[in-house]
Formats: sequence, structure tokens, C-alpha cells
Amino acid sequence: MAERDPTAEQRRRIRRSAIVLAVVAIGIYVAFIASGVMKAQP
Amino acid sequence: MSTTLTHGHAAVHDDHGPAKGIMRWLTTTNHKDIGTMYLIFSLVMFLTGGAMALVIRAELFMPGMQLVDPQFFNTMTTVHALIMVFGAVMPATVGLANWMIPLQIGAPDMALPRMNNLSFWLLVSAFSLLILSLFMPGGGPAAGWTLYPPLVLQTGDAFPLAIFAIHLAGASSIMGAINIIVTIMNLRAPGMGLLKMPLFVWTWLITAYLLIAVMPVFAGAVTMLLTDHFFHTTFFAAAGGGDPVLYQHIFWFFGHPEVYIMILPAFGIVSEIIPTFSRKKLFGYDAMVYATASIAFLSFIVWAHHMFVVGMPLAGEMFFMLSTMLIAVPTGVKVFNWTATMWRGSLTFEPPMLFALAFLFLFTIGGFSGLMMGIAPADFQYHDTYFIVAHFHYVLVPGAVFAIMAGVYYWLPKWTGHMYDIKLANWHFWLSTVFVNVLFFPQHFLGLAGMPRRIPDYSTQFADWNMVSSIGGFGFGLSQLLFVYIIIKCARGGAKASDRVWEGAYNHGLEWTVPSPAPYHTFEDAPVVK
Amino acid sequence: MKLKRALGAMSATALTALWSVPASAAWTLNLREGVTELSREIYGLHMLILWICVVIAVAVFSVMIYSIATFRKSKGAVSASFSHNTTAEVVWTLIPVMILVGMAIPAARTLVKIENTSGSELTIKVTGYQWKWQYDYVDDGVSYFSTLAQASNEARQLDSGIDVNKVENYLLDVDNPLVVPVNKKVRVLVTAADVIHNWWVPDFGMKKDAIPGYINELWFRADKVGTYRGQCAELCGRDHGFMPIVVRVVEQAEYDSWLAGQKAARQAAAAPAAQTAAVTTNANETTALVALVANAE
Repeated sequence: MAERDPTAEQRRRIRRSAIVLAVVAIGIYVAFIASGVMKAQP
Repeated sequence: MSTTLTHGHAAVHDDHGPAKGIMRWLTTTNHKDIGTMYLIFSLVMFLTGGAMALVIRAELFMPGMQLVDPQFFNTMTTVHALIMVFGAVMPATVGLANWMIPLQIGAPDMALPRMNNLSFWLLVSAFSLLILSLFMPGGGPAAGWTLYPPLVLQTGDAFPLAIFAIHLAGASSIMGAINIIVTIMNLRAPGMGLLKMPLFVWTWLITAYLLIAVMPVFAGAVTMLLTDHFFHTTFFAAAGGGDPVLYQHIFWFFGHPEVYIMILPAFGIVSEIIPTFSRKKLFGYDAMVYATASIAFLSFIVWAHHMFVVGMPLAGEMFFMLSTMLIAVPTGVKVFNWTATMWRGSLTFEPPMLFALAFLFLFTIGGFSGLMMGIAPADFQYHDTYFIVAHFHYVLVPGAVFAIMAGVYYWLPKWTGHMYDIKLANWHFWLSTVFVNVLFFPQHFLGLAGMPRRIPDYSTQFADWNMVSSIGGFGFGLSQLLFVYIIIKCARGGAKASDRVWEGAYNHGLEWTVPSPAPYHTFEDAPVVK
Repeated sequence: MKLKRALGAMSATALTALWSVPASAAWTLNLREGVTELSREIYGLHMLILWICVVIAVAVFSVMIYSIATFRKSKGAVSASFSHNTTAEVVWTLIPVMILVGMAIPAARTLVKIENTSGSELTIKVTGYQWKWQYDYVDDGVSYFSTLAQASNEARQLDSGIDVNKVENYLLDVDNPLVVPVNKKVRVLVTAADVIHNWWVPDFGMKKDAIPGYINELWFRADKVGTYRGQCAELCGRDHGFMPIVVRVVEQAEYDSWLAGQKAARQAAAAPAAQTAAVTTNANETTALVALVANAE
């Protein structure tokens, strides 16, 4: 598993994109619950 | 080099692994191992969900109540669907993705191998909870897989288990999707530009974006169900200023892309198989990519066609009718391109091709009934009848499931190193194809005749087609045992498979350049991609 | 043991049943035309779309079948090398769009008609309960429940021992049907008391969700006297399949006398003071309801 391990640059990009996507997912979750809260306001 | 699939064909919770035993499977970060686990899990879930369907078809065999309590019947319809959608189809496509994406892009593994392991075991936890919920006081969830409030809030002690199961499964999917995107975007072999990737990889790339966009929406919806039930919120209760229809909007905003999440990888599989067995390149590669992307984009703006009878303003009904009809266009483009691939090809009909061709015919039928349902005034007669049930089972069973089976029959020799029993596989194909139509085609008639869905008993004018459908159900269900047998037999042994396996697979993907079975570690050196 | 007996009985009955087609509409293939102008328009749309789909299917499947039959390696076919054709892609994108436009125009027209509830001559409020319907003639103070008929209810119990084929209108019969006059535009206000239900009469072509706390409306004008049966069309719990809808469409005169009879029965049953109170409450509720619906439009 050694020769084609991702380079340091690739690791950095992989980690950053993974975090961005995870934050987007969480953000969507929060946004939809917030929309429910807003809609329920009298 | 250690081999990959050895005894992994036994039940999910086996301990017959190679040297390291059960710890290998609990802690593996290898995409081939994880792919195998996903596929075995999905097969077990397929049989479980199928058994529930047989309970349904057994009760519906004749009018009158013969077997089960109506509440249990509703539980069966609910859990059958939850298992099939989240436990069978989606994990199967994820399993295929895990096995094949690194191989097809020339990468040594997925970008985030440890998260990959977590994704799988989260799924096992999720379904343990869901199945456990069946044994809770008050019975399992029985509000339909759509879980509409207020009805779903009448669920007994099973409720929090079901919600938590969904959260875990959702987290699993989201992490899997993140993994797939970062793998495809970062680990392609040099020379493999995006528009050179196999279409299976493309469809999974697009599917992964859909998953990230909508699984959190579903999670939000069920979180609000949870708080409505336990913490006195009233998101969906009119008495507190909320709206049950809000749930439906949120659910279907997730739910419609969800069905494309299930079918796009199937499109990808079929796009790999038809060219191989036509000995001809896929027709219109670029158009296929754009069509897939269009379908994914359009899937976000059609959701309320599931809600035409909810009391929508005219403008809403118009918009969703038109956007829904529009999706037929890119879908048609794909069907035409597959057909054009076969045109003036040199066809052979091994099991993968048989299943891919059945997909082509029968998914198209499902597509036509979908188009009919998009006509909003007509939908007032179809909605919540067996016409809908017929439609989605056509696109999901001889659609997604047949494509998955085609993929298994296509790649199984690569995974195991053995060719399977072709004669038995042909039997499996013909039995499945005949019975799936006996099972689902009459349901169009039942819906048009006026039979609602989700009912355990019916008026006697619906008896004849129901009997036919139930016979088809049992026939189809039993035929799947053949599939299990074929896989187990193949894993155990069989004629040695070459690297290329299929004569037509020449130049049809990097996976055919590695030995069969694929070594535990592949592409540790970057392949040459022209 | 019970299962074995059930399976044995089922197989025997299955074989016999498959040979003896009952007189009732078995083996039905298609949607019904119904008894309203809208249900007929919907039927027409359905047939139009169906035929278009059939024609396209025949065309596409013919090409597929031809390919499967002709371009076989076993017959010596050698594969061509073409792999794209931009003109083809444009053509088979644009033609489907044109066909869809052709479908959308009549569909949109019908949709506009369906949503136009103005000019109605009678308003009835329908409330879904677990598991029955309540019908309210809002202008006349007549209100009653409509529940699955007793014969059906007994027969549908597990191990009832009753042959359901002998129960008339099994699962489609109620104790108190809805009664409406023929050829009158009836506006139906649909709501629910507990969970979401759905009021559907296939012969009227109309179906609407009944949502607790909200009021939906639909309209129909039946042009043929008769008895029309429908079912709840939204999963609403254990007995979702056991809360049918029966509507008797009768001549105006018969409707008038039926309504008068209903009012009289209520007057006789209730004490005068209680009766006045009930009617007043009903009237207030009706005004509020009508205002709610007007606001929603």
C-alpha cells in the first residue's frame, strides 16, 4: 500500500474537500430545521 | 498477495474470515473488503425485505383477512420499503462503488479508508435498530416509509428506534458520499480526465452530490418528528401553529432526489455492460454525462408531484406538472443512447447483458407510467392507488435491482476469480423476468380499477388481478434463492476467470487489466491512461 | 397448522376462483369514465397520454428487438465503430419536448377547470376520522357519521368464517351514505379530525387529502343518478382500508325530501333548546370555515 499513497498535497486537498462537504451537509440539516422553526412562528 | 473474497459469502455476522478472523472484517479499511461487506449486507436485507413483501402478497392473495392483523400489515409495508430502499438498493450500489470506483479510476483505494469502514458498520447498527423496533410494544413503525405526521406520531415505543435508525443510515450515506467525491476528484490516475471516466464513475459522482444535498434534509425532517413527539414542538401540528404538509414538502424535497440516487448508479452499470456485450463503444458518452447531470438537477424541482392532492394552489400544480414532464427528456436521451449502442453492434447474451436488456425494456415501461402520473389531473385518479405502486416497482425492481444483479453477474468473476454457473444464471434471469412482470404488471390494472394502496383487504372486484400478482410475487421471491446459490457456489469455486473475463471487455475499463480475482492491493503504481 | 390449512384452502380456492370469473367487474383493465364532465376529461387525458406512450414504446422497443435479433455475433455481425452523432442527440431531445408540450396544453386546461370551485350550489363538509367519515350539510344543519357497513365489518375480521364473495359491495358499503342531487355543482370542504385521510370517489374523478386543522376543497357535478363508491386514499392507521365512501346521486325532488326527512329526524331526536344551540354553533363554524377557505384562495 506504499508506493501510491496520496502525496501530502493530495492529502491536504482530500481533507479540505471532505471537511467542506461535511460542513455543507450539516448546514443543510440546520437550515431545514430552521425553516421549520420559522414556519411555525405565529 | 492475499486473495480477497474467500468465505465472505456467508452471513453478515460470520467469523469465517481468513487468518485474522472476525477482526479483519470489523477493522478493514480495504475498499474490496468493504465493498464485499456492503454487497453481502444488501443481499441479506433484500431477502429480509422480500420476506416482508411475501407476507403482504400472501394476505392480498384473496379478499378477506386470512393471515395478519391490519396493523401488522401496515408495519410490513412500512418496513419492507425502508429495508429495500435503505438496506438493499442503496447499500448494493455503494458496495459496487466501493469495489469498482478505485479499480476504474486506477486508484489504490478510497481516499478516506477508515471513514469507509465506519460508514459500513453504521449501516449494520442502523438496521439492527430498525429490526429491533418490530418487537417493541405497539409494534413496528406502520405509517408507511414516508412516515407522514400526524399518523407516525401514533407509533409506539418503536418510534425513537426507527428515527435513530434513519439518522444512522443517513450519516452512513453522507460519509460514503463524501468519500466517493473526494476519491474521484483527487485520486484518478494521471491522464484520466473527467470526460474520460467510465460512466459508472460519473453516475456515482453525481449521485454522491445528490446524497450530500438531500440526506441532511431527511435527517432534519425526522429530527422534527422526534421533537414533535417528545419535546412538545409543533412543527407539523396545526393545533400548535404548525402544518403536516410542511413535513411532506421537506420529505419529498429529499424523497424525489432519493429515487434518482437509487437509479443513477443503475444507469451507470447498464452503461458499462451494454457496450461490452455489443462490442461497441457507448453511444453519445458526452450526452450521457449531460443527461445524467440534467436528471440530477431537475430532480430538485419536481418534488411536489408526490403531493398533487394535498391542496396545492393552481400555480404550484402547474409548475410541478411541467417540471416533472421535463425529466422525461434526458431520461429518454439515455434510453435512445443505449439503444444506439446496440444498433449495428455485435451482440452476445451472457447473464449481465440479459439483465441489462431486461432493464432497458422494463425500466422504460416504468418511465412511461411515471410520465402519465406527471399529468396532474390524471394523477388525481392514480395517486395512492396501485398504479403508483406498479410504477415505482417497475423502475426499482426490473429497474434498479436488475441493474444491480447485472453488475454482480458482470463483476463477480473479477471479485472471486471464478466464472459462475452460466446455465443457472440464465435460469435465474428468465424466472425473475417472467415473474416480475406477473407480479407487477397487473398492479397497473388494479390501480386504474380503483384499488387504493396500503390496504390489507379489498373489494371483491379486485380479486382476480391480486391473485395473479401474488402468484408472481411468490415466483419472483423464490427465484431469488437461485441468485444466492449461484453466488455462494461461485465464491467456492468454478472455472478460472481470465483478467479480461469477457471477450468484449477489451479497452472497456481499467478493472479488466488486473488479474481475477483482483489482488488485495491494486494500482499501487499508477496505470497508464491514454 | 393454521398456516397450512390456510395455504391449502387458498390453493384450492385459487384454482377454482381462477376458472370462475365472478359477475362483478373482475379483470378490469382501464380507468373508468365516470359520471362528471371532469372525470370524462381526465379519462380523455389518460387515454391520450397512454396512446402516446404506447406509440413511442412500440417504436423504441421495435428498434431494440430488431437490434437483438439482427446484430448478433452468433449471426456473424461485426460491430460498427461510430460512437456519437450530435444531430441524433438534438433530434431526440427536441421531438420529445414537442410531444410533451402537446400533452401539457390539454392537461393545463383541465387543471384550471378542476381548481375553479366558484358557482357551487351546495356545500358539504367532509371530516375524516379514524376510521369513518362525517358528513355535514353546512347550510342545513344536517350532520352524521358514515361507517363501514356491518356485514362488511363482520366479514373482514380475521378468521370470520364468512365468505366475503357473498357480502354485497364488500368493503364498499356504509350505513349512512352521502346524498346529493344530480346535475348540481357540489362543493366539498375536506378536513380531518386526527390524522391525514383522503376523500376519493373514482366516478367523480376527484380526490383530496383531508388534513387535520386545514380545509381543502374539491367540486363535482354528477350528471347521472346512481350510487358511487370510493375509499380513503391516504394511509391513516389500522383500518385505513375499512372506511369507504358511498355517494347516492338522486333527482332533486328525492334529495329535497331526503334532506327534509333528515332535518325532521334531528328535530325529533334532540330537545328544542339543544337543537337551536347545535344549529347556531354549526352556523358560526360554517361562517368561519367559509372565511378560512376564502382567505386561502
